[in-house]
Amino acid sequence: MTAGSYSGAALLGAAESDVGVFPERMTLDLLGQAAGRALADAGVPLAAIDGVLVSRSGELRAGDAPATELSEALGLRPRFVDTTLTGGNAPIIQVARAAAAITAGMCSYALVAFGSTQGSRRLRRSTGWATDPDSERVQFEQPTGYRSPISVHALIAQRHMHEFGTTSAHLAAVAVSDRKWAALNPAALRRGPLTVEDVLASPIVSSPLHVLDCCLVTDGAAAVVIGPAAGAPPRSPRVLGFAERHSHMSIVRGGDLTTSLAADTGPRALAMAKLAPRDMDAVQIYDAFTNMPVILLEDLGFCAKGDGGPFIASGATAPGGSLPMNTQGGGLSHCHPGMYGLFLVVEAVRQLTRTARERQLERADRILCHGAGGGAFGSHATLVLGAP
Amino acid sequence: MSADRERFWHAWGEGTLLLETCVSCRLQRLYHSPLCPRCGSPEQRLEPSAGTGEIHSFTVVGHRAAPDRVVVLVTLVEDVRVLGTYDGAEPRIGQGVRIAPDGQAAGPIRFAPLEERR
Repeated sequence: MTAGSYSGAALLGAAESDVGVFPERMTLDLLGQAAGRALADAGVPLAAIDGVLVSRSGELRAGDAPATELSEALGLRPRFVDTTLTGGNAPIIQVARAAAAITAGMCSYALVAFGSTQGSRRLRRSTGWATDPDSERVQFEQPTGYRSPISVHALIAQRHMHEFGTTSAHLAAVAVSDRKWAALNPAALRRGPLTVEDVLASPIVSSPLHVLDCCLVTDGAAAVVIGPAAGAPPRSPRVLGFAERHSHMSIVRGGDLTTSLAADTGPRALAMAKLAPRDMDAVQIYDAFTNMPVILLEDLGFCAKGDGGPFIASGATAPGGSLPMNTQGGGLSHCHPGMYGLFLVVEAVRQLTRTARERQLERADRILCHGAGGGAFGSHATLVLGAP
Repeated sequence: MSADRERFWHAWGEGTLLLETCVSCRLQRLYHSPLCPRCGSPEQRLEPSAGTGEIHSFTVVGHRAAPDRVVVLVTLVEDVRVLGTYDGAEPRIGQGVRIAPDGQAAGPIRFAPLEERR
């Protein structure tokens, strides 16, 4: 694929639902709220939507047909659907799928949506999703007493410390950087001051990761409306580059724990965009656990391999730094309804369209979003968004 | 459960860790691959592992109602990774380990420090 594979589409609108913990609300209602807001932001009527892309969303998985279920509930009869399921990065992939489908003429206006009530319903078991008794996860991995996916990232973090001298204070700096941005976002759920010492003093869940090294567990939904580039407002973001790569679901087949496939997807997505890491005004980096941005910034080329910890601890990613990261507060301080990928894109759209209010960056013309998924860091997608 | 997996757990209960081994190119793995990831051959058989290796990484998992568990990712001498538990003092990356079956024909795969072998 080349950038031309996506050039016929523009991101016309983006929004989140309310985020928090809502025992009285259904996933479908949160999805509807986010979709309604995104359509209003785009100025596109609901009836115009003829492409629907939804990954696994909360209770919308009874028949494992979430795109059809959402379409049914909204009275849509799309001629293009997608239910990509790769982990928390799936909605980022779906944004690219939608742009490609529109460029190819498979649909005209696409709704990419994700939502869940994971926070209030406690749908996720601490040992992970797999319940098939024949699965290796059930037979080999769950009996170890690990917590999935926290312990998998703990193993990765421990190895990164061993190979590169990364410290717990370096990891904590990721949470501190996110929190400083969250303080500027009224919708973020954790906005109070946070120090490295606070993170290190929080209980260890799976060493070396503390409670405050882990993302929130909340309810919430997000939606992005994508339509034809022709006639779109000049500032509406385009897909300048995209690349994905997938390798494993289990840590035992994870190979080199400390270098991810972001080292492949980042350079490929940037090459498609004919841009370099230094051309990015900000980044949106999947941060379910603090070790993830450390490794991803290295692999994406924003710092040397092994330097991710010191780079973030220097303040580079915090307000006022050279590489603003997760300007909404990220999954660590904003919200995290199980899959954060679409929230990364929503914030990128806000920054690129100059609608990020208190946290609006002065320069926001090109933003790189990177989503990792797969449960064991084995699925990666890089999306470069910007003005055409 | 597949016949091979039943044989695997039966062997583990008797003290042996079996590895799926490609009949064609000899690539070994713990988890099942219907086609060899290296050569594509569909033919495989279970062969005993030497049962030794080293800790590639580890994590101590806190549990409210039970003692902490040490979970280890071990690289066996056959260059196969295994996720298991570790019974020993302070784990460290690079620590030599051996399998430590406890007679149970079920997971987890258990490891102990290599030095304790008599």
